[in-house]
Amino acid sequence: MSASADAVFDALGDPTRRAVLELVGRTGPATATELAAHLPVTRQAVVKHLDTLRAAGLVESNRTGRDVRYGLTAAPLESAAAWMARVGTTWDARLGRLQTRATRKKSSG
Amino acid sequence: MRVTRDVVLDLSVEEVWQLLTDPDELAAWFAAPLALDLRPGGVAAFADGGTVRRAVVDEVVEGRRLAFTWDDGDGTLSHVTFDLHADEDSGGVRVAVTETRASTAGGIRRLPVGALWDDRLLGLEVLSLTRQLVSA
Repeated sequence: MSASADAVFDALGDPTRRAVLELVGRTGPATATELAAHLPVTRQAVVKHLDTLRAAGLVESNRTGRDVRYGLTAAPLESAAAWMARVGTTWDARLGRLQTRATRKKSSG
Repeated sequence: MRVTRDVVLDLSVEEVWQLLTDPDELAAWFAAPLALDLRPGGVAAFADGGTVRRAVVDEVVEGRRLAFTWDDGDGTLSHVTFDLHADEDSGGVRVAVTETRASTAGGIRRLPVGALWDDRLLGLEVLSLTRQLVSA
């Protein structure tokens, strides 16, 4: 599932959450306990932030044995600019074809 | 997040409307319709590239406006509106398209509540979620 820009912007609005995300990115898949050891917040707080990041599609969790490890998602994050560029290009192509149909329609009467 | 484009077509309003609403015409320039119920609340589906995209029609004003909400096949909804205007300069018809990105399926809960909306959007959400489960 692609990351919604809305959820992503919300998720990244909290500085501690950004720190959690950055740490996950730097250290690779890690448990909440391991992450909390490097942050000035409780493990409980880290778990809450990870849940928000996961809901936004930015991290994913994998259970190995009794551990749950959190890592960055493989799905690419589509920025607002990328969405607009992609959708804009798609409409350019569609309207180009519409124009072609219109020309054909006109000449066929 | 909104994208707008427009094009001026050298046709009558009636002819332009036909290009926007006839299944064969849509298949040629837009996307092949698998289902097309062009009434407010009507459900449509399009084969867009390799993706089936479900849509719910929001507004139909013949010769003036066509609006629908659809998903991208991946859980993101967006609103598309076609507005037709007479183009004074050319004597043709200007078609203005707007596509506005909405939230993902979770954002459906923030949209206006009303029995009709809930039923339509619930169907769209279920279809969207089903596709996510199937592709997961």
